[in-house]
Amino acid sequence: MAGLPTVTIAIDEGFTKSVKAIGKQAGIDLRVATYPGVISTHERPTIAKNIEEVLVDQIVRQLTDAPSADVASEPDGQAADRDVVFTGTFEEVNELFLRNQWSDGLPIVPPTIRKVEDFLRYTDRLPDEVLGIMHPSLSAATVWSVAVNGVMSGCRPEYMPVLLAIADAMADPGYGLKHGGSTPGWEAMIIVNGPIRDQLGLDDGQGLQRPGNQANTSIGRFYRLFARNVPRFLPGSTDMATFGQMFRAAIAENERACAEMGWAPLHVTRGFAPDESVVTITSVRSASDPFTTAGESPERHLDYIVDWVKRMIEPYQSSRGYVETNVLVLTPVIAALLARAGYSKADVERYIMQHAVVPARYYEWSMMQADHHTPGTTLAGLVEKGELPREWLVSDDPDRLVPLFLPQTRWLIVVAGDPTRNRSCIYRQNFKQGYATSKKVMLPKNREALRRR
Amino acid sequence: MSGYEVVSPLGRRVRQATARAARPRTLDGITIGELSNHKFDSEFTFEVIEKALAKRFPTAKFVSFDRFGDTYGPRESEVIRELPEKLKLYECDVVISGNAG
Repeated sequence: MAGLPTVTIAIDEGFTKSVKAIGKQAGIDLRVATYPGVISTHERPTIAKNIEEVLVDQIVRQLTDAPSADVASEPDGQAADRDVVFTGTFEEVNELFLRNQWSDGLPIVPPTIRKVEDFLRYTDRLPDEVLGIMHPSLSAATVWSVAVNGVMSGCRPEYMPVLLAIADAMADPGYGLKHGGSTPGWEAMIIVNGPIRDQLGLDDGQGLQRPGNQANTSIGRFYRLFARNVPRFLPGSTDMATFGQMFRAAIAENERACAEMGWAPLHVTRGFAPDESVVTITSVRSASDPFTTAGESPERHLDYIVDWVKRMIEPYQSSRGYVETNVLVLTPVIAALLARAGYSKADVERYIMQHAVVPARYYEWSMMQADHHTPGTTLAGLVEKGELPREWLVSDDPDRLVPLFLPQTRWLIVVAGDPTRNRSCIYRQNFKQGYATSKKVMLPKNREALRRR
Repeated sequence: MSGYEVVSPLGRRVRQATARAARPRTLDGITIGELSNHKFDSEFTFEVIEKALAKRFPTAKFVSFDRFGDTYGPRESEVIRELPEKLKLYECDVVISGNAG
């Protein structure tokens, strides 16, 4: 059924192309009016001139011109799961996959039916089970499509339960994958907990995010290939990443270290049983320096961690109402030092939330540096409108300290990395896109027999 | 061996093409709904757009973006869910979505 005639205003050719591509994927011929240039870099007189002289004509035309002949939405050419779409050598298959934008630029393992079936043995779920419908392609993510992309990524068949848990998380509307093609160009961080870590040989130690360990690397690659092929995030059209990031090797938490220091592993802090295997994924917009902290005082470490938190997080996020699920990865030596002093993971999170405060003057200046608010917006105005809690306006002293985060913000504390190094790293989540989402890894009933194979 | 017989890595498409909405011949007498993510100086840009359109179509009416809520803010899902009802409530005939951000 047709809706209302609509025109979308986009900037320049890049956004216009993305809007058209996203519409096409959804089967909608979106009408676009293109603002000349990047509006954020224009002041009001230039904006007014461009609207009056360039944009308004387009708005009128796109709202009133009769619909042209049907523009075919992206050709389906939809093959059934088991249809052989091509037969060729390794090189020919890879050429085809590159040409069709089915590959990430690295050689893929050709997904033959036999290979896909090897993966399907590691799940009791039916191949055509739909995990969810993914935007922008509006395609069904199925168990079959997980297996195909797992094969291509260089995963081993026994990784399939983890790949399914990742895809389940991606399909969860709470994760917010539909905005995965936004301009910050975030990439997922995949954290694996529970017995499956050791069973698959996932690394939790020194250099764990370097390419090299097959499980960490190929599972990380799977996320990006799946994101290209099922929701179809493609740079230059549906993926608007300004710079983009390489896929990120999956990590495992060092649960032995957690046990030794009496800290709950991540999945337990998120409500799962210790003996369950769980995958947690979250968007990462940027990672901090792997900064060093020193000394015997836990607060000296925590204060410098908070200092890095303040460097990483921009005030506009909370001023716009965004609530994140950021990640702090501590090496075992730092985590143990904090644990010995009586800090739990929840205490570390609380410490960050309580101490991440900045001068109101800085908060207000920073939130206005981009174009997130109408010129003239003030902290006082946001509080008066109820868009920020009263804590942001306890006085009118511009040097008063105000919170950096809304109280619902969460910090995921993970122990991993070189056990002998005193470094930590902060991974900044991309507000409502890619909220931390955890899914249980469902193992097949015949897993013991498969393990013997 | 003749080579690798490979399958498609794509998801199964479930969407259907949406029919295009018929366009009005003129914006005179038309109610125009505005949608925005409340960024990129929305208040100013929509004000300029409204003035420029009103100059050409004096009987066009506008429903400000602030009636619909922030389409990209923390309440996005709720705002989008309520959109059809609100567009109906305000008797919008056409929609301008976004302000170049």
